[in-house]
Amino acid sequence: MVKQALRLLSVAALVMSAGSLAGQQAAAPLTAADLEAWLDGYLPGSLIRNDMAGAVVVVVKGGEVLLAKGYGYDDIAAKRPVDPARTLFPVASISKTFTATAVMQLVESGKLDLDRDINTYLDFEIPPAFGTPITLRNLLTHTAGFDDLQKGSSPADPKWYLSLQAYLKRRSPHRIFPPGDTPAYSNYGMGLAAYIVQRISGEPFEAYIDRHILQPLGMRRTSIYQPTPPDLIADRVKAYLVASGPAQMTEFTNTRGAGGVAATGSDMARYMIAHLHDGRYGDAQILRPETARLMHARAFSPVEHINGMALGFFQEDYNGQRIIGHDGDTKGVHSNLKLLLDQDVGLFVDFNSDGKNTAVYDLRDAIFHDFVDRYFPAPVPTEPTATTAVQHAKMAEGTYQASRRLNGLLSVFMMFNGIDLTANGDGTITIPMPPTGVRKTFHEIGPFVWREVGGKELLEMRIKDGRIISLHDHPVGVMLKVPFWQSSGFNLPLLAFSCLAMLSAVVSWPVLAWMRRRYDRPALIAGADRTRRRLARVGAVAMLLFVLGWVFLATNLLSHFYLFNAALDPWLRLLQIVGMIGVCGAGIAAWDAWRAWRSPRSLPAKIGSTVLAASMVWMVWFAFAFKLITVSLDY
Amino acid sequence: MDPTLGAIVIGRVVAAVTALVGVSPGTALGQQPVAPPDSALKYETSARLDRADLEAWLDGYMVRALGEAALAGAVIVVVKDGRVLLQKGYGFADVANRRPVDPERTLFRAGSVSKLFTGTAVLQLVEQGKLDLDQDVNAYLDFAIPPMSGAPITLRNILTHTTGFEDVLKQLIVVDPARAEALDVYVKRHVPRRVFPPGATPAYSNYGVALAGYIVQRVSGESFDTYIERHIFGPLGMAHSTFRQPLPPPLARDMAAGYLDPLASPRAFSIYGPAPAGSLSSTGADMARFMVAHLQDGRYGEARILEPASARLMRARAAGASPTLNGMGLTFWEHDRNGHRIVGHDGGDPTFRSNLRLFPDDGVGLFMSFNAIGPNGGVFAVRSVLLDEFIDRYFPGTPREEQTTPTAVSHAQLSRGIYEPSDRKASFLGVLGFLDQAEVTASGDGTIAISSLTDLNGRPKLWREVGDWIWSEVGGWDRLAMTVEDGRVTRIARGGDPAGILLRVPLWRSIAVPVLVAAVLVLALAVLAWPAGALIRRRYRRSSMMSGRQLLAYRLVRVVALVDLGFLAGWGLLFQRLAAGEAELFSNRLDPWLRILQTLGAVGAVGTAVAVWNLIFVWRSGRGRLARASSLALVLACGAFVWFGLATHLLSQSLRY
Repeated sequence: MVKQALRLLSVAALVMSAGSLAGQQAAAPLTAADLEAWLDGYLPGSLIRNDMAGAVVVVVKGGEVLLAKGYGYDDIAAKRPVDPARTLFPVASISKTFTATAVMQLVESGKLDLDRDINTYLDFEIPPAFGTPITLRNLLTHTAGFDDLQKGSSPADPKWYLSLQAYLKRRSPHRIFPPGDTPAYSNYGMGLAAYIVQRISGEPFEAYIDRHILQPLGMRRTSIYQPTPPDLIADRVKAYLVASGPAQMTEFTNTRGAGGVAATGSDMARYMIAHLHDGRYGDAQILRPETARLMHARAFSPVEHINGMALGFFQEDYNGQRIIGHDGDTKGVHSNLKLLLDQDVGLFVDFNSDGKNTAVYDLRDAIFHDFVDRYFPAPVPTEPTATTAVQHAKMAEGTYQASRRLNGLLSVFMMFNGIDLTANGDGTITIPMPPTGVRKTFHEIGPFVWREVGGKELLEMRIKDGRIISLHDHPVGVMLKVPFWQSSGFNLPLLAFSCLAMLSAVVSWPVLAWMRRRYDRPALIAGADRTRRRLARVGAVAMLLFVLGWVFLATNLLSHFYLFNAALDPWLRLLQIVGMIGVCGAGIAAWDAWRAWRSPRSLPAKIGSTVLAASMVWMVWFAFAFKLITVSLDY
Repeated sequence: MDPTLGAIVIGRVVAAVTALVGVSPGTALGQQPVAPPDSALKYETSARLDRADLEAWLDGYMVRALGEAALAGAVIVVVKDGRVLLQKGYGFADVANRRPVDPERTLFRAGSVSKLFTGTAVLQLVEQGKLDLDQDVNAYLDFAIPPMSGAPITLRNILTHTTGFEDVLKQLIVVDPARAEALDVYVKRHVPRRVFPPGATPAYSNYGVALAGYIVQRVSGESFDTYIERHIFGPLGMAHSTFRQPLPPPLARDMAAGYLDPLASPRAFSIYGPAPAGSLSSTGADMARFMVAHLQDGRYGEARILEPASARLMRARAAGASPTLNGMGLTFWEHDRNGHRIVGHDGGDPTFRSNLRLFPDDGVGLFMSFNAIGPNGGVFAVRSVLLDEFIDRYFPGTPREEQTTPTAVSHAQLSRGIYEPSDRKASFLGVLGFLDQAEVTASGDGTIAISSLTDLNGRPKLWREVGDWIWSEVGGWDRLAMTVEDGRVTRIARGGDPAGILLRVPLWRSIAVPVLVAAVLVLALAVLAWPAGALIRRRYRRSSMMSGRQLLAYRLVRVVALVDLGFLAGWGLLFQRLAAGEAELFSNRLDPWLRILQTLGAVGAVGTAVAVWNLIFVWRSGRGRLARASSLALVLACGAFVWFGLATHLLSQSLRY
C-alpha cells in the first residue's frame, strides 16, 4: 500500500531530484540497445550504493517489449538472479488499476453506474454524511472522503487475514470530507470497489480478476490470490529492508483490490500494452476503446494545474507528455508503472528492498523522470514571477498535514507528518517536499500556482473564502493547512519541557530523601501535604512511562504495519491505563500547587510544584487532543 | 592528500561513537544484520566498449548518481587506442550560475593525480642523466634532510612512498594566498621527522613528492610550474592545465566551483603547500592527452614526453609487499583486476575527487573528476562503484578460484589485535593514530575482519587465507599480506593501498583511549563535586571539614582537574573544527592557539604534583574511605593525563606538524 502518510518518519534522505541539477540534452533514441546500456548504468550502481537486492524493469513500445531485464537478486540467500520472465514481484497498489479495470468492465456492460450511491450495490450501509452519497467515481478517484484505517489492514499472520466482506463490514472509516471534494488516498475505498465487483459479477473478486483480466491477457505468471498459489510462490521475490539484512515476512492486505497482485515483469508488459492499446492485447479485448479512454482521462482534481486522478490511475503528465500511472509499496517491495499514452510507451519497475535510508522512494520516482527526460526531454521552464508572489507567499506560510489522515490512536503521528512552509520574503517559498523531505524553493508563476526555482515541479494552492486551505503537488498529494496548535513545532518543545519537568521532580525525590537522611534533617512537609506530593510524583512517573510507551510504539511499530492488529489491543489499553494514572496525578499536582502557595513553603518549592502541575496539565491536554487516550481502540 | 583529514576525522569519530554506543547505523531494533553468506553480491553487466554503449551507460550511471548523492557536476573521459572515445560533462561547474560542465573548458582540481606529472618530470630528467633514482636526494638539495640509521633517502623512495617520513599537515592547504608558501620555502620549513628507515615501510608522503618537485626545479633550473608547462603541458597541447596557484586569470574563469553541498556556497580554491603533490587544475580533454601519451609509451602525436623505456619503467612494479598483491610503480599505483593490467592514481581535495586509470594492455584510459563531496559524502560511493562497474562491464573477469588454506584458522588467531596505519604523525596529530586504530578479529571459521576496512554499507570486509599468510577479500579483489615476527603478525600490507601498511601497536597504545576516558570521568566528577558539595553544605548549614593547607590542596587539585579538562576540551574543539573541513586551520594561523593549548597542557602536567600533595594530606588526616579513594583516583587520573599527553604529543611544545 502507499504509505506516504507515514513515510516521512523513516526517510532521512538528503537527496535532490535529478532533474534539478542535470543538464538539458537532446532526446536519445529509444532503442533496445540505448535503453539497455542506459539502464545498465542506472540500476546496478543504484542497487549497490544503496544496499538493495534487486529490481525488474520492463519497457514496452509500439505494442512490443522493448526491454525486459532483471538486476540483482530475487533471493539473496539462494543467490538467485531476478528473471523478468520467471520472478514474481508484488505490484502492491498498482493492483488498484486492476480493480478499476474490473469496475470499468462492469460499467461497460451496464451493470454498474459510476455515479450511483454505492449503498445500492452493498449489503451493508456506508453511513450518510455531508448529505451527499459516495459513488464509484469517488472510490476510483480517492474522493470518498474517508480517513485512513491501519489496524488490521496489512497483517503478516494469516490468522488476521479476513474475507473481503468480513473486513469491510468489521471496519469502517470516518467520513471526514464531503465526497468529490478533497482527495484522500484510501485503501478501504478501493476495497469497497473490489467488493462491489464481487457482488455484482457474482464471482469472488480474485476469480473475477483472474477470469476477466489475467487470463485474457495471458498473464499466466500473475496472481491476485493471497498467499501466492503454490505453483508460483517459489518464484516470488524475497523482500528486504537492505540487501545485507534478513528477508522480511510477507504482508497480506485485507483491503483486497487495493493490493495483492504479484506479477512477473513480462506479464506486466502485457498489461501495459493492453492499456496503451485502449484495452486490446493481441486478440483479447479487456475494455472497449471508449471505456479505456474514459478510464485514462483526467476525472477529478480539486485544482487546475496539478495532475489529477484518472479512474484508478494517477494522471502523471511530465515534460508535456500525457502520462498515467500508479506506484505501489508493500513491506520491502516498491513498484512504479507509467504509461506514456501518446508515445505508446510503458515503463514498469519493481524493487525488492527499501535500501539504505529508504533510498527506493527517491529511486523509483527518479528512474521515471530520468527516463522521460532522456527519451522525451523538455526544457526547464522559465516563467516570470507573478507580482502577487510576496503577498501570496505570506498568506501561505504555516503548517500543513496530509489529507490522508490517520485515524484514532494514530492521530498523534499526523503531527510528525506535517510540513512547514516558509515564505522567504523575496516572493519565493520553501517546502520540505514529501515524502523525502528535500527542501525545494518555488516562485509564483500564476495565481497561487508555483514553480520550483530552476526545476519543473509545480505546486498549487487551493483557496476558500479568501484563505489558503491546502497545497497540491500530486493527484492525491494534498496537504491541508492546520492550526499552529496541531504542529510539531508548537508541541514538541512543550512536550520536551514537560517531560524534563516531570523527570526533575521524579529524580529529585530520592536524591533529596537521601540527602535529608545523610544530614539528618526531617522532611519539611508532613501529613496530607506530603501524601499529595507523593501522589503527584507517582502521577509524573506514570505520565513519563506513558510518553515512553508511545515513543517505543512510534519507533518500533510504525515500520511494521503488520503488527497493527487486535493482538496489540491489550498493550494499548495498558498504556492508556498508565496514562489515566498520569491524568489523575495531574489533578493532584494541580491541587498540590494551589496548596503550596498558601503554605509557608519556600519560593523555589512553590515554583517547582507549579511548574510540575502546569507540565502535567499540559500533558493531559496533549493526550486527549491527540487521542492518545480513547474509548475505542480503532485506528 | 586523499582522503582529507576532515574526512578521516569525521569517519573515525563516527566509528568511535558507533563502537561506543554499540549500534550500527541503520540497524532496526531486534533485527540483527546478517552478512551475505560467502561472497559479495554482484550486479554487473558486460558489454563491448564502444562510444554508443559507453555514453548511454555513463548517462544512466551519472544522472542517478549525481541526483542521489546531491553532487554538483563531473567530467568523465575515456580514451581508447590513442583517441578520445568519450569526453563528457555532467551537471554544473557552477550551480548558482547554472554553468554546465564543459569537458574542453571546465577545470577541475586533480588532487593527488598531480603526482603522476611530478613523477613524469622526474623520469624525464632521469632519462637525460640529470637525476639518478638511487642517489641520496641530499645531493640535489640546498638544504639537508637529516640522516636516519645511516640510510639516505632516494628519488625511488619518494616515488614509491617509502621515505619513512612522518605525515606532516601544516600548510598542506591554505585558502588565503597571503599565507601561501613558495615551494622552496615549504620544503625547507616543514621537513618531517623520519620515523621509518627508507625503503622498509611504505607511508604515504605528500612532502616527499613536493621534495621531488623541488629537485626537478633545482636540477632543471626552471621553476616547477614552468618546467611542467614547458616539458609536459606544452608538448601535449594541454592548454587548459596548470599547477599554478591561485589560477592565472584566463583559466580562473573556467574553473569549476568546489562544493561540500551544492545547495550551499562553494568553498574557496585550495592552495597546496606541497604543490607538486596536489595542485594541478586541468580539464577532461587535457587529461585525455596525458593518458594517451602514457598509454603510447610517452608519445602523443608528433610529441614525445618520455622514451618508451622510461614510460614502461614508470608504470612497472617498483615496490610491493608481496608478488601476489598490487604494489607501486613510480608514482603510479597498481590496480590490476579481472586479469587486466591497470595502473592509476586517485586524488582528493576538500571539494574535488578525481581518479585516473590506465589499462595499458587494452589501450584504454579513464579519468573522472567531481566538484562536490555531497552533503552526506556521497561522492565516495559514487566514484568507487563507477570504477568497479566500469571495469566489470568492459573488462569482466571471473572470480578467482582459490582454496582456503588449512592454516587459516591458526593464522587468523595469530593476526588478532590492534594495528595502526603507517602514515604516522610525530606531532600532536599523533592523537589521530589512536582514533585510527584498526582491530583485527578472527571469526573462528578461518576468516578475519579488519575494523577499518569496510564495504559500502560500513560493514567490515571478510578475508580468508589463500596462500602462506596471503589473504583474499571474500567476494572481492583486494588482498592482504602479513609479516610474522616471533610467532606474531606484526605488519599487514594491502594491495589496495600499496603506499601504506598496518603496524601492530604495543599494548599500551591499544588501551590508551579507555584509560583516558576513565581519567576524564574522574576529573569531571571531582570538578562537579566541588560546587555541588558547597551548595549542599550551605543548604544544610554545615561547614567544611577542611581548613588551611588541606583546604588549599583540595581546591588546587580541582583547579588542576579543570585545567586538564580544559586542555582536552580545547583539543577536542580544534579537531572538531578540522573535521568540519576548515582547511585554513592547517595554516600557520593556528600557531597562537596551539601555544595557548600547549601552555595549558604544561600547567596541567605540572599540576599532577598538586594531586600527589593532596593525596598526602588526605591520607595523613585520617579522613574517610571515600575521601581517600577519590584523592587516589585523582592522582591516577592526573598521571594518566600526563601519560596520554606525552604519548600523543599533545603535550609537545613544538609547532611542527
